[in-house]
Amino acid sequence: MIRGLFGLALALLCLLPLGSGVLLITRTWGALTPLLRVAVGLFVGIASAMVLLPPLLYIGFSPSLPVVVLTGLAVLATGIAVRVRSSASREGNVSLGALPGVVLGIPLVLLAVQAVDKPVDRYDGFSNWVLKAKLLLGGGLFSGALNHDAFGVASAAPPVSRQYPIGLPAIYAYVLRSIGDANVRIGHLFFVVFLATFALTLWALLRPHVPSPILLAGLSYVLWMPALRVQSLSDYADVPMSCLLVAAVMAVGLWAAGGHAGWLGLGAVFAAAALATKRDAIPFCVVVAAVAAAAVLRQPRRLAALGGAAVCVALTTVPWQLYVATHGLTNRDIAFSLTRTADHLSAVPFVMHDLVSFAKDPIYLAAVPLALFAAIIALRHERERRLAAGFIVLSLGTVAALGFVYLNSIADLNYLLRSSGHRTFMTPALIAAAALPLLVSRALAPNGLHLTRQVPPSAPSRRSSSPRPRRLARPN
Amino acid sequence: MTLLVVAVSVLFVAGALAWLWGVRAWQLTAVAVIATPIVWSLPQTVRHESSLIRADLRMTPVEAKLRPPVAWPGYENVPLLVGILHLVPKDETVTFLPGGWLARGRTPAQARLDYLRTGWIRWVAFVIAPRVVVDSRRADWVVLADQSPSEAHLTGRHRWRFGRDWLVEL
Repeated sequence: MIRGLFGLALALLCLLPLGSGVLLITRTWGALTPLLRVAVGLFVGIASAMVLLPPLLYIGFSPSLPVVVLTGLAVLATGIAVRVRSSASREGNVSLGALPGVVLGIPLVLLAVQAVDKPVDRYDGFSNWVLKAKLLLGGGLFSGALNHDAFGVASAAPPVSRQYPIGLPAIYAYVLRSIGDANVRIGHLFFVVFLATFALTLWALLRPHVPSPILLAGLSYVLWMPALRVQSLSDYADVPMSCLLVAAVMAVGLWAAGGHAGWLGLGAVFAAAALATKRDAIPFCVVVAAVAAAAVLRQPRRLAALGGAAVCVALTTVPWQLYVATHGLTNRDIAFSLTRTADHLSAVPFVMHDLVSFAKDPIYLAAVPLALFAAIIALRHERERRLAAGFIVLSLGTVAALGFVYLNSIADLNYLLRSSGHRTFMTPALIAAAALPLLVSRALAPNGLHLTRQVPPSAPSRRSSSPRPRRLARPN
Repeated sequence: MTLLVVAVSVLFVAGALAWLWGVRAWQLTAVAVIATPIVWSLPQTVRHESSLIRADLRMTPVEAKLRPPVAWPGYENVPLLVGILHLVPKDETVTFLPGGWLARGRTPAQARLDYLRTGWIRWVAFVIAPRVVVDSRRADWVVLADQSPSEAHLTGRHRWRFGRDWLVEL
């Protein structure tokens, strides 16, 4: 047990150079205090490793400590070079007080107690996600982990859904290697740490725009959500993908609202990590990109930057697509096709009916209806209409994207929706839950009161073409 | 009743903290709007998680790691899994040859195919990974399910018995 905990700590520590490097490259490092740099750096490190490890695996490297450390040091060196060459952009120093730390810590500690003794007990856990991770434990310290035979050619019991991207199995294999002896029970603690760093990343992104009591309540809402708590230890990929997508939405939203270009870069990293986790992220990312494009439609330079970021994100999926194509891994449950969508159009009312019923499910704390209600109320403030309308479109868009995923099912649509809909709805629910503090604060704030706190004078980057953040009427 | 006590306590603490820190009325309203669903679901969430923790704590480490989460009567053999984990190197392959009642009324090839398709083999593949379960007689190791090496006409370098099943190193 002690050895496992030490291994987990070591694995997380070795992800920090990678995360810190990405924060430096995106020039978001300066916006955070040291504690949040560690937390956000860890979350970004995990996301970056999920993007980088699969292509490294495909070309023969192992998801081991030396490989991750060397990759991290290379990224960190690039980040330091970027920081030296350009003055850091600053949008304020976001910190986390003791009380918020304790309040957010309680649900996470309770989850950690549950995680320490949690066995792998779900079918998709032991036949797909964790099995893939364990199959990547072979090979040497530097190379040979991805044994194609193990993934299917000679195996009599290969992992199901081998056509899925392997970002999550890769990072999990890295953690299990560090823990030693493939102790998947302690490995569950990794998902608790992932949730903790996700919550602190949301704090870092939203705190300049939401008063701390409201944000604290909002993040507690996220961390106490029954569906999130059950699913985060279930070994499924829906929670990691949803967390990464929510982080992408928030970072890109911050950029679209006038933040500096680094937030767009960070959002792109999160989106790429979501794509490396699960294929469902494809339509979700398309929706996020479309909403962001609509927000900056009248700003050609920003629109071009968004297009560039979208292309970079799409390029990160190429190694996976190539591997799937060259190894003949076929889709057996869902394959995106317009003709299939057209064939299933008659099922649209049935799919939407089920998705709406998931939205009302108490396990999601009615996050989607509550956030939509808050957004509709926020529409009454003229200066909040862009945010409120953007959220409404995004929220409905993600639900529609989920419906689109089901309309492309090769397997029986009814069975697929009934067996998996309650967990795949996590993405729209988590986006709504994360946006809830922002929307509620905008909906209930007295008219004319701007919520964002005073922004200290920033030293705009020489490369950054983004305008300065908005100055606000009064500090909070 | 518990819910009411929790809700009143939370509101009291929130009100006191708000008064101490000068939180504005609209901010308090926003916190209440967001906190209400949490307070509503919290007792059930905590009860549910406590029962899960108690159930997990009742398992020994070996049970938690090796006992299948689904019952497959007639197939399960946890000592065999312990044996494979201790004896088979991580980079070697294992295959299964069913006999006895597992092969009754079927050809050996059909019995083998059916056996490899069971949920039990999915669990075995997970537990023993990165060792790979293969459908080939060229495997490094063979598990004889419900039959002995002499019944299977198999001679190997070493063999170990685990209940009804045998593990043979070829």
